[in-house]
Order: sequence, then structure tokens, then C-alpha cells
Amino acid sequence: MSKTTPMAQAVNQESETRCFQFKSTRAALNELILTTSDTQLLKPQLAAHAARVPMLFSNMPVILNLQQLPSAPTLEALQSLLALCRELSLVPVGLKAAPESATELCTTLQLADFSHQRRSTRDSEPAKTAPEPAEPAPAPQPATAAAKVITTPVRSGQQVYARGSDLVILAPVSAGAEVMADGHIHVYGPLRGRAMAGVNGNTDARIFCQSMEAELISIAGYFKTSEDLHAECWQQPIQALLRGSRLDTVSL
Amino acid sequence: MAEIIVVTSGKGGVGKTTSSAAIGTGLALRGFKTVLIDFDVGLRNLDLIMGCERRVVYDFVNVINKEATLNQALIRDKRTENLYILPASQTRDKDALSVEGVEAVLNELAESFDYIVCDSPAGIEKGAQLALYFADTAVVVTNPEVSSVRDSDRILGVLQSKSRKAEQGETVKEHLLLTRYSPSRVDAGEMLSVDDVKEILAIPLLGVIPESEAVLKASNQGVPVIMDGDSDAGQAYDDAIARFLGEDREHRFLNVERKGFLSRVFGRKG
Repeated sequence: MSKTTPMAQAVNQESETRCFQFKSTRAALNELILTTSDTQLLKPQLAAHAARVPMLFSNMPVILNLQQLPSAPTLEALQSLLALCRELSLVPVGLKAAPESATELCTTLQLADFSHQRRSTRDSEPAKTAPEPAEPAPAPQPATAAAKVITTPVRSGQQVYARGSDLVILAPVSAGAEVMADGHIHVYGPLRGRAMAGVNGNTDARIFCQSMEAELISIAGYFKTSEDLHAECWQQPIQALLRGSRLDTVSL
Repeated sequence: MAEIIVVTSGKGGVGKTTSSAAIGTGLALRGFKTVLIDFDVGLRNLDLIMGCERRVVYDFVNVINKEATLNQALIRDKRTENLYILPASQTRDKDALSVEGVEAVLNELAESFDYIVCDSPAGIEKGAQLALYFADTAVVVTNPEVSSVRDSDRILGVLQSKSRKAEQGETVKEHLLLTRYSPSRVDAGEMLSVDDVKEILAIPLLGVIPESEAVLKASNQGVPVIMDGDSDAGQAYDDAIARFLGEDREHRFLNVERKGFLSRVFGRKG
């Protein structure tokens, strides 16, 4: 056939099914900055915090920052710190420590080394926290990344997730589609699918929409189905928010 | 370079093949060199609608497997100049198609044709995905009922995420073709209206084809319904083709026709 050359190329491209792909990604990571390595002191405070925002602590990946500790902890102390984190459903994924000791500690504990993440040297102490204001503090606030903006219709069967940010949709969300965000959700077309705000447990998240026709809305796990919505606010411009454990719809 | 049009719907039995035949024939009647490809491997139907089933020797799968050349497999339509049909294989299944194979065939066709019309199988699986993968333009065939509309919505999502255009960051042009429309049933509240469907799918309306006895007759006779210029469905398809080519035509057959005195007396059908 006359088309052998382009076809051969096409075959080569398609038949080599790749087993992996490296892709840069931006995951929302929180840092647990410790000012003491005394687990006795730390445990009640951390546990109290976990009790207040249980959703946040459910397997949240964290970086342990040891750079603010008065003295470098021993390996044993560090191991008990890690055990405490895991006990409270945190998942330590890496360390920030003094660069001299970090490599060895990380190798021993099989954790990632984040100590060299910042451009500023260790010596310039005050600059340490300043250069990266986007870095989330270890407070229960979600990361404040720029909102994800969708301009085309979200069709039945499609899923959109704004990880660590708000979600803004300037088109219809069809029945059978799912839109999710760690922050707020704004829908400027009719909302006919499912909308889940604050999926990482953020109870302050809200859902705003121009025409409420959703199959289901949910905030931090509290939900309402279209049956309830039919009675309350069908095809109305509304916002949905949590009041205690009640999901309320308020007209805009 | 040819424009590749996929006629798709998600749901089965809504009129994809009837519409493909009408669109292909309509474009050829206007002087464009057009080829109709049946992607429904295993459920070959397009050749029946086009009335060329007795002339099928080689098929799409044969060409992909290089058991036949494209010229051997293409069937020239006897009624319409410039129109060719590439039939599907009845004895194979969708796995016989491959991305590279389909691409090679489409590239070869693109050299000599103006329009390539791909008649997609139902569903959202491999067959349907391959039919739409290379498309420049999609005609989404929808019936005025909720399940068909939802399936069309699903296939629109697939189009804008899994087609080659989407992978290259471009968009596939979308057209809505509403078929089997019955104004009297819309008035009675038994059927979704044009506006309802447009509101849900949010894509431009190419045409509304009324429910018509002419369609079944045409299918069984193997004559594309667009050739039946006296029928409402035939005229509606002709309007749709005109709009597709950029003409501005008003939508017809959207309202219940008031029957005149004579037609009431003689019971003539519209």
C-alpha cells in the first residue's frame, strides 16, 4: 500500500504501550512544624486538634518539620514522634531537618527529604518562612491554591475535582456528572449533576449555583438528595452551607 | 483535506444509520465527493439502508487487514454521483478495528474525498470511540426522550475528552440532530420539546426530523429518506444539510399542522 510510511510510524507510536508516565503534580501537602520532640507534651494537643477536625486528620499526608526544634532529636525520639502521628491518622511522608542529618535520617526512616526545598540557606533564619507564603501552615485551613475554572459543559459521566482549591464552573453541569472541590463550588450554569464541596472535610466550604437542579449536593460529607432539594429550592439560585451538622440551602 | 463527520448518539435505535445515509446522500447531491463508513462491525446495517447489500464483496475490516484495497471495498452508489459506501464486516466484532488501521484508511480516503461520514455504533465502548476518535465534526442524533438525551450528553463528554482533537487541545464541532420528533406528543406533554433538549445538551441545533412513516418505508426499500423529497422527513434532512453547509434555514415541522378541510375529508397524510 502507498501509505506504508505514515502507517509504520503510527504503529510504532501506538503499539509500544508504556507502563508508566512521569508527570509533575501539585499535591496539597501540610507541614507539621514541631517546637518540641516531647511526645508526652505533644500528644494531648495534637489529639485535641484531631478531635476538632477529624476529617482533616483522616490519612492526611504531612511533612514533619524539625527545623524549629531546640535540639536535633534522637532516632528513637523521632520514631516515637512518627508513631504518634500515625496513631492520630496522619501519614508522614517526609522530613525537613538540618541538612547535615536529614539525608541519613530519611534513609533510615524511609521518608522523603524535603530539607533542601527552600532556596534560602539554613543560616538566614528569618527568611526561612518568608519566601514561600503559599506553603500552608499546619492549621486546619485548606491550601489556598488558585480556583480551578471550567468553561465547557461538564457532561454526564465526567468528573471534575479541584484538589486543594475552589471550583468555578461557567457552564452547565449535566445530570450524571460529578463536580468536587476541597473548597467552595460555584456553578454559573444549571447544576443538574452531583456537587461535593469540602471533600477533604472542610466544613466551611459552600456551594453556590444559579439554578439548583442537582441530583445530590454535599458539604464535608453531609448531603442532600434531589428529593429534598425539589421541596426546598428547585431551579432557584441558592447557596448551600453547613450549620452545625445541618446542610442548609439559602436563596441568593 | 476531507472533513470527517461522525454520526453518533450513545443510545441505540435513535436513527444514527438513517441519518448517516441521509447526510452522506445530501452532501453528495450537492456535489461533494462523499464516503459513508459503517463502523458498526458485526451489525452491518448501512448497506441495507443504502440498498447496496448485494454488492458487498470486501469490507472495512478487510481493508484494515490489507486483505483488500480501498478501491476494491468501496461501493459506488448507483443513484447518487459522488457517493461511496465502505461497508462494515458482519462476521467480525469491534476488536477487529484498531486506531492505526482506521487512521490509515481515513488518511487514504482524505486524499480524494471532500467528506467522510462515519456511522458510529451505539454505546460508548471501543467501536463508538474509534468512530469518533478522528472526527472534526460530530452530529449527535437524539430522540426527544430522557434516556436518549442523557446518553447523548455522555457521548458529548467522550467527544470532548477522548477524541484526537481533544487530545490536541482543540474541540470537535458539535451539532444536534433531533429525530423522531412528534409535535402533537410534545403538546400533550408526552415528549421533550426541542427547547428542553437544547437546554440540557447546550449545543447548536442542526435540524429536527419529524416522526414519519416515510423513514421506515425508505429503510425497507433501501433508499435514503432524503431522496424522498415529498416526505416531511426527507425535507427536514435536506434543510439540515443546507444548515450544515452554512445556509440559514428556518426550522420546520416543530408545530402541529392544522389539517385543511380537504385533507381532513380525504385523510391525506402529511
